[in-house]
Amino acid sequence: MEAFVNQVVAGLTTGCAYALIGLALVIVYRTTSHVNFAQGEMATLTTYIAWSLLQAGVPYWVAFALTLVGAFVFAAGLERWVIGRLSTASPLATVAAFIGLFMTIHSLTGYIWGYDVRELPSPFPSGSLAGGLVSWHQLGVALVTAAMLALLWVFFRFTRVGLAVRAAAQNPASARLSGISTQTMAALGWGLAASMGVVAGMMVAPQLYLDPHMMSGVLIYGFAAALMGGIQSVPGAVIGGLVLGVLENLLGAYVVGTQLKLTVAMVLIVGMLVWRPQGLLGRPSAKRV
Amino acid sequence: MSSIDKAQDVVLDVQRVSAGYGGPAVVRDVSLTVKAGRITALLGTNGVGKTTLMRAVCGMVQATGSVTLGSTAISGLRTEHIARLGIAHVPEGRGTFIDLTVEENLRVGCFARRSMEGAADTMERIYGWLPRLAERRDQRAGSLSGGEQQMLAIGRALMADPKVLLLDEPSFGLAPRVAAEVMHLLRRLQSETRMGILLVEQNTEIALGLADDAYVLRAGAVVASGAAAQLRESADLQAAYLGSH
Amino acid sequence: MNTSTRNILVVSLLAAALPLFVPDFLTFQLTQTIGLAIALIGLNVLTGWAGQPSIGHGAFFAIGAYGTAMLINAGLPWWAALPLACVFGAAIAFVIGKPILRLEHSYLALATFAIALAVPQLVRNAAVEPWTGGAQGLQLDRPAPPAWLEPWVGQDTWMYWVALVIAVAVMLGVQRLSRARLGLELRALSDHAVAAAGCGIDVPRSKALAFVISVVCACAGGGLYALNVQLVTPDSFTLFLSLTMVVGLVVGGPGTQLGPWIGALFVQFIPSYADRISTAAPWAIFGVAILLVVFLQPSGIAGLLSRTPWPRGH
Repeated sequence: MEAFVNQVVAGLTTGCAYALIGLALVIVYRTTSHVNFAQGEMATLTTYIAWSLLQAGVPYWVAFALTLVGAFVFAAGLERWVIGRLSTASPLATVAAFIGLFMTIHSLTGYIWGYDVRELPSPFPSGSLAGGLVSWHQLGVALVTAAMLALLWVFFRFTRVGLAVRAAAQNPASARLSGISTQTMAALGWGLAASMGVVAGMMVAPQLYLDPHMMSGVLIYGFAAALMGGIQSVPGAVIGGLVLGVLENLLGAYVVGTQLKLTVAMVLIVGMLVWRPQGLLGRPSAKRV
Repeated sequence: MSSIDKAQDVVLDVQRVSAGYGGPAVVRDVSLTVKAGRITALLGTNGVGKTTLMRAVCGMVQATGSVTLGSTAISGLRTEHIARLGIAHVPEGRGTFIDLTVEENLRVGCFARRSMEGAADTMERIYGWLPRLAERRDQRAGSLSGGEQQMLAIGRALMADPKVLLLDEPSFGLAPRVAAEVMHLLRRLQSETRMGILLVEQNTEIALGLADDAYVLRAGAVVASGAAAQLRESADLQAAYLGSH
Repeated sequence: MNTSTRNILVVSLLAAALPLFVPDFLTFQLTQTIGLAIALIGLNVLTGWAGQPSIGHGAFFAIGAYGTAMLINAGLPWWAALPLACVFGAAIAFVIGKPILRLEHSYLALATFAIALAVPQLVRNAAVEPWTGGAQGLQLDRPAPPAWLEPWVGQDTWMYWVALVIAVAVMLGVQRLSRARLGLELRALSDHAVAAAGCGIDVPRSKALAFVISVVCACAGGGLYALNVQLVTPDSFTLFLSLTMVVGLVVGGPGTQLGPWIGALFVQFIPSYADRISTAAPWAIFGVAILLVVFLQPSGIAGLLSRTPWPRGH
């Protein structure tokens, strides 16, 4: 029984990373109609930057904040001056551009930091509570994720800019007629997504260990999480991420073994796309020929 | 207060605008003016280019020619910039943000304001004109009826305190009684503000009954224009250009 | 025989003479290029003509490679194993093709991305290890030149000729397709699927056919790769391969006849030089190359070349 609870808790912890990446994908999709295949690579890159800051002696939460802001600015700029220019490109060109982004960022990471595995420390004390059921790190990850989600919620619900982003995501044409610049909203969306990637990367690196390939598994589960809500739903991605984290752990421990993680993700993604593209929570839309 | 008492400043000046969607021009060499405090109707059957012209004014389609708002040239500017300069466009189909609440829809309209000062007052004024919206201010906009959504869309446009209001088929899909309410609102706006209103309507009876001036479009070009009262009298004009109505 | 077919045969004959003038290791690399080019020709049909982006064709390349290896290890001669592996691939494509291709571009890319990530993990898995060789992979033997040729023609050269013959067959087949009804249908639906459907084109069926063709070509390319290298391991068929294939197609020139070949040469030879700079360099070069092409020269290198007066045959 204790082992089961441990698996569930561990699943919820990785689920937080999946939820954050899934959320990042949803936000980018809703503000730009693009699927950002390079979201995981961006998260890896920014996590490495945080690692370097820590190596240089910067206190953890300062490094965290700096990386968060830096990632936001970098991603917003990337969308505004590079990706944003793709609006007139063919679908193949768009996908190709994201692949180019993926490969360029991946190689940058490998070039600057090399391919050896690095250790990113956890800011939380070691040891556990509740009689070994939950570690401080796991609790910390959950709290940080919850704080991030709460901040995001407040931003969207109660600020002017947040309202503008929501409006632009729902109905870009009407938003423009009301004076909202969809270009700026897209850049904001990318910035927010990148920030979430930072949190996901820094929270998950102590477990997964930092190397250039760290986030590819997280990315694919993030996609699956986003799809569970129908790629348009913010709560869907969050719930999806947590559910998938737990599912992955339970399936790995009791059913298929730990080596088939990506295969399970593939089956989930392809299955969902084919049989229920609006996700488990979304509404069907007429998008297929 | 009759409209003759108001000064006849031109707030929107469209000069020789042609526009299209990449192929042959849908709007050909159209010129029209909208004056402050007056309602100008843009008439014509389906597909003559009325919506395209409105979109061209707002920078939503490729266009040649010049469009001036007051003394500012706006041709070639981005749509959101044009909105912030003082043109509010209520598009065909209303463009309501269905997943936002009624009040949030109105607040979105504020992004086109020159400054947020007075926004609260404007909102109260709009709720005053549209009490049913006030009752539903925290309801999801998608749950409103067609007529209420139309009012909401107009309300959202008004939140920007615009100089010019463009309305694309506001009575479309509405029951006659509801359409009449919309027209009544427009009449109130005309008498209580100095906005210039450009109204696209397929229903010429309603349009000519409400408007001060009118332009008739056919195959993308202006074929008749003048005081609405005169156009209404001219049965030949109506029969020749507007079909049976 | 029309100009284009004649062009293909003439160029092939010239190409066949190459091994006599170049060192063996280069012939080996050229054979690798041919395998990749065949896969890209197939990807071109799906992504270049029909506009359906797939970033998972490395997985089908792997299926062809592993299929050929497994069948050879089961006792079949290579000239039966390779086609059979292609048939197996076609069957899989047939089953998953129709549902997957209903997806809109980004979603299709996403689904194929997932497939590309998952397949290496699948073949590595302990459950199928008896067949796939797990992490070590499988070894296999090349087609050997007939005894009477052996003094003059080395193994690498013979392998090269085998690959070339298969490539010519694929090229001629695809060329016929390009002119046939299916070719037009695919281009039409790439432009505007709804309008194409309105013209009576059975869009799902055409897309599925394009998919099957692309998979068969990928399997053939993969099988040739396996025969050439004589070893298949899970690490040879990672996500990088799938992404590389897209890079090859886009940089070469999507929708053109020459594109897959230019792309294959680019993808095959650049890394061997780039590797000397750093391990990260091949990825970087591919990434930058594809970005440059997308923003500056969307018709690829083939598009650039077609502006110069080459003899055209269409």
